[in-house]
Amino acid sequence: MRILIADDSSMMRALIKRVVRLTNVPVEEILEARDGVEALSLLSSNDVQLLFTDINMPGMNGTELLRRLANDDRWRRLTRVVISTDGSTARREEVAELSVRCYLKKPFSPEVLRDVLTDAAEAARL
Amino acid sequence: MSLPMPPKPLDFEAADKLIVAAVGTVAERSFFSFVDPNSDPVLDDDKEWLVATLRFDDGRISGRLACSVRSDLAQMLFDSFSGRHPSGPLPPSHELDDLIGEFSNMVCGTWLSRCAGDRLFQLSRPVVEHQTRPAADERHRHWVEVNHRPLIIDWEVERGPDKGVRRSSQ
Repeated sequence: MRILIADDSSMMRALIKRVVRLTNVPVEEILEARDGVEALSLLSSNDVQLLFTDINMPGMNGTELLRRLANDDRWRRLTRVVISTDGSTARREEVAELSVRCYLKKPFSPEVLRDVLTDAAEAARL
Repeated sequence: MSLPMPPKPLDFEAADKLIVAAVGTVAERSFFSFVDPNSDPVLDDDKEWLVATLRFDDGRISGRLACSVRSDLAQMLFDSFSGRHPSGPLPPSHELDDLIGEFSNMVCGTWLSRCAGDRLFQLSRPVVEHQTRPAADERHRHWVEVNHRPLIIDWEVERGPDKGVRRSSQ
């Protein structure tokens, strides 16, 4: 499985990578993007099964990224997980219609991320 | 067809009470650190401070939040988050800045989700500066201790027709 992490914080990307590598989920490659534009570019040139995306990013934010993915049939099999500091009801409702499998609120414990990853990996394999 | 409900006015007093709890949630959950909310101001040392400032805006209300973190605490938070051993090589400055920016981002996001969860705020990317003193005193200031080291949270609403419920003392 190939994973893409879109987050403008390099430390957060590193943490997510570290947790992913600590799980038993077989991962072929972990790609990183600093914003939605980079994420779209990497998705176009790589066969990615699972996307973790932040919401607040400079340039193209996570909501716009998810909107573009939802409007393009190429990504219908991509499993999408939001990892964001924004846990508001308003934000959750905004992305609810954008094929998001899970919304994980920062801060999170590594165990929660592991469980989300395991679930998302199952979905990505189906 | 019914129109969506407008967001409730921001209750400044309630928001002010929630900010320290937000720091506690972030520090404990992602940085394995403990917060003492009843800290006295401590400025009598020559340590550097990292001041992370970010703006929030939902189109009607805008403001800013600043986290001032003393450098020894910044290092401690970095180690907790990254797994770096304290005796290992020091992290580059840009990684420390990124981490303190992310800390402030999490505090602001957690806080706004709790005090104004029906609003869609955009948060700016945190700007981190190294200073000899914490941020200049803002309208709302809280001193706390994280792992027995000082951290200061300042927040202020700067603009918006929807100024919400004001504190009775103002």
